[in-house]
Amino acid sequence: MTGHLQRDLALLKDRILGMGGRVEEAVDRAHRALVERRPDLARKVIAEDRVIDESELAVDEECLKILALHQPVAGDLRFITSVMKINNDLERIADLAVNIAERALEVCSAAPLDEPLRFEAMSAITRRMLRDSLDALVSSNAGLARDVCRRDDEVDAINRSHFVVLIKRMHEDPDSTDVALSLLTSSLHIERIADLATNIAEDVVFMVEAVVIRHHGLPETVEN
Amino acid sequence: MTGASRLLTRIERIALGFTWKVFVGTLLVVLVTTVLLERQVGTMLAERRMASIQQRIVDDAMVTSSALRDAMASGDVARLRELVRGMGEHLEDRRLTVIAADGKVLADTHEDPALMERHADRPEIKAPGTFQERYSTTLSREMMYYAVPLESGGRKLGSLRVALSMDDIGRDVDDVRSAFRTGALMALGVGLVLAVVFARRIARPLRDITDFVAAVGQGEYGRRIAITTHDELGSLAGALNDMTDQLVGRALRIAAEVSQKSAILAAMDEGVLAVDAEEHVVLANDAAVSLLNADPSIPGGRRLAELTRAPEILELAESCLHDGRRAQAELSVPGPRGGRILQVTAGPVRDDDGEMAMVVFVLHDLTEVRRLEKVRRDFVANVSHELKTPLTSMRGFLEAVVDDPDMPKETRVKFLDKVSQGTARLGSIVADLLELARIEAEQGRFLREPLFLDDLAMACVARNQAEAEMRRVRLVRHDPPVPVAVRGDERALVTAINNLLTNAIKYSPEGGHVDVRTSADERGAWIAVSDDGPGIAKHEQERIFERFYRVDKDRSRALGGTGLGLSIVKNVVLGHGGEVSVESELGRGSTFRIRLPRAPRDEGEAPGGVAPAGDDAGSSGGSEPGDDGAGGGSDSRGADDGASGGHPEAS
Repeated sequence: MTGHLQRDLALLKDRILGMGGRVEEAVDRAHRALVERRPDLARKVIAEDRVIDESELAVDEECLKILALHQPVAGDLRFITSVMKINNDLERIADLAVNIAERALEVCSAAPLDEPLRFEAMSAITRRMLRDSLDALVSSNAGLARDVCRRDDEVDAINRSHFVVLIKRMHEDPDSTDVALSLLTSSLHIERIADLATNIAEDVVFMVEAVVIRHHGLPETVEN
Repeated sequence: MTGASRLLTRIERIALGFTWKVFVGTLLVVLVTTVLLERQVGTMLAERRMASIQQRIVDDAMVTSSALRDAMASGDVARLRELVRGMGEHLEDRRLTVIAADGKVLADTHEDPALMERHADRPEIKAPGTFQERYSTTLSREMMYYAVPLESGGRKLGSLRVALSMDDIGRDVDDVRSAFRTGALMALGVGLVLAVVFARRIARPLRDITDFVAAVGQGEYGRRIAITTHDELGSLAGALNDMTDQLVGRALRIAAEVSQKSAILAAMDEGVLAVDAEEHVVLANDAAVSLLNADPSIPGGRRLAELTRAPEILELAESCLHDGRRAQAELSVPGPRGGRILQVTAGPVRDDDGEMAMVVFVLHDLTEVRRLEKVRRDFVANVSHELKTPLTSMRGFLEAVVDDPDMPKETRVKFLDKVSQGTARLGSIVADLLELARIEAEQGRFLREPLFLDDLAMACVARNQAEAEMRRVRLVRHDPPVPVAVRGDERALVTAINNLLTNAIKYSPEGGHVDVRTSADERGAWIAVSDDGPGIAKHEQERIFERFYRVDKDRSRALGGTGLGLSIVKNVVLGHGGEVSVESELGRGSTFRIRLPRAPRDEGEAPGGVAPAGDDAGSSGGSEPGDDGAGGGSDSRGADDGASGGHPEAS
């Protein structure tokens, strides 16, 4: 009985990590499509979203099956509920990656804006957050997960700076409004991805320590 | 705590151990033997004793009766009594009684006959020759009686009765029995002591063997049993020692093999990763971990998805486990500088039953291959473009001249002049390409002549002086007080320095100045060429050494650059074991630095003969036969190359 449960849980972890890998890849490609102006990668992201959607459904089904069959308790139950939430978050991240890819297609077709935008850094931090939150899930590392939550502020700051720069540009140069708007939306999406990565990290903390850290600032940030 | 537990185990060992079993066994054997023997022997002894006593009684009766017969026959009672009393003194424990035929007691050894009752009805008297046991009221103890008739001439005179106390007989038997018991007790004691001693002598080597086997089992491979006996235990110990030798030898061989294999795996550039049928990671070498950007603490026992989430690898694992076929995929791992491109080959491994046992992944890093492919593609495209551009314009001018015979002379001369410029340009590109090809081919096979860097700098400055003056650029040389000695190929180095110098002059504004500085420190010999031109942006500084790479394409071509000069510099310097670097900021000018390994100090004086030759740049190529003999095929071309390599832009 427990042998079966452990096996099913291991397979479930495989599935959610595999899905995480796909989502990471989608985010990575969307970023490169935007920064390196590669429409081919953007189209790949849009095309492969279906696979991620399917794998979301599969993970969900697997979770419900385990819940119904084994009625797990304590750590196992927390694991499954966390996986269900992480699954949902990952799927939304993939959707955001698709949105960024669509913006990227428009950005690629226009002349580049010569503005001091920090998409490279923003996306690097965000992808690192996503990666670390999944790594935290792999190794049940609550410390790493808490660390991910702390990094969200940097992404927010960059996003705000993008707003300032791009809105000013739209005022001064109405011709570039389309591109600027696409970039602005992309920046928002990236910021949103970072938020979802934070959610995943919070779920990992809950899974490992049975402590809910959502909606409370971390003690360290309260001091600031 | 440990003392108490040790005592407990000791007790347990004794209680359940070999010694205890032998002890109890011996005890039981001795006890049973003793009891049985005692009973058997006691009974036998009692019977024997009885028989011998009866015999003695019979003998006594015979002897005594013959002695008493006469006195009895004569009827002399007094004499009879005297005889009997006399005998009684010799016969200690036996009692003699003489009874008349009518039953009256005539004489007795122990009693006064007058006080004794008639004995006619006593069974022994009635049945002479039989033994009777009965309680004697006279003596108040259990007695055995035997009687013989006293006869004389066929007439029965009376009876002689011999009696013996049964107690005496019983005491004898009891004595024997108790002696037997004492002996048995002693035997038991000695036997038990011996049993314990023997048991311990057997048990100790057994315990040693047990300890030894346990120790070897826990990895004390150096341990052996000391063989103290030559019995079965000794040979068991010997056999165990031999077995351990063999096992340890085998284990060491296996360990050596394993460590050798893991060393091979660790040394491989290719990543090797193996997962079992359940997708647990069985093996992952360092290369695999670093290629996949994986957490190095994970491999071994963890699942594949925990090691890497790359969808391509997870899919390969699944499909390979499912189909059992080899499969290949290419994946990009995100990371700094555009990440890596990996080629992953998954191969199934089946066990003896043909079931899928493992999937082995081999990861090749294709990043460099892909980059080189791109460089080559770009190069071919660039060469074609660079060659085609002047050709196109030349053809245009030539066609114009050919098509229009009535063209004014000035226009025709102008057009033909353009064509001539074009051929010169093509010539310089081809010359640079040849130079580059030659340097790349000679990479590492440059001459190692002793040279002074200052002389090379001087030669190049002299060669470019005219061009500089024409562009109103001031050329300034800064030499250290002590000449800097290096070893290298003079012609190649002059070409390299010359290329830097012509570039610097070309990009300097009118009235600017170019500094050429030679120096030496512990890291090597340096020559730096600085200009106050437009400078090079940071992100382009890495690429300017690539072939045909130009920061500003139009301007560069207008200035007559082939796009190959810096590439030649880089190849020459690398071929000399040095390095070239650029330090620049937009609008602040650029400084190119060449670092070369210094010649050993004691050779500092050696190039004295070459130095004067270097003074005159024009003659340096031709005047040194040794140089050309080793460096190039033809004299004239060599000298030409030396000049054109430096002045392609000037022509």
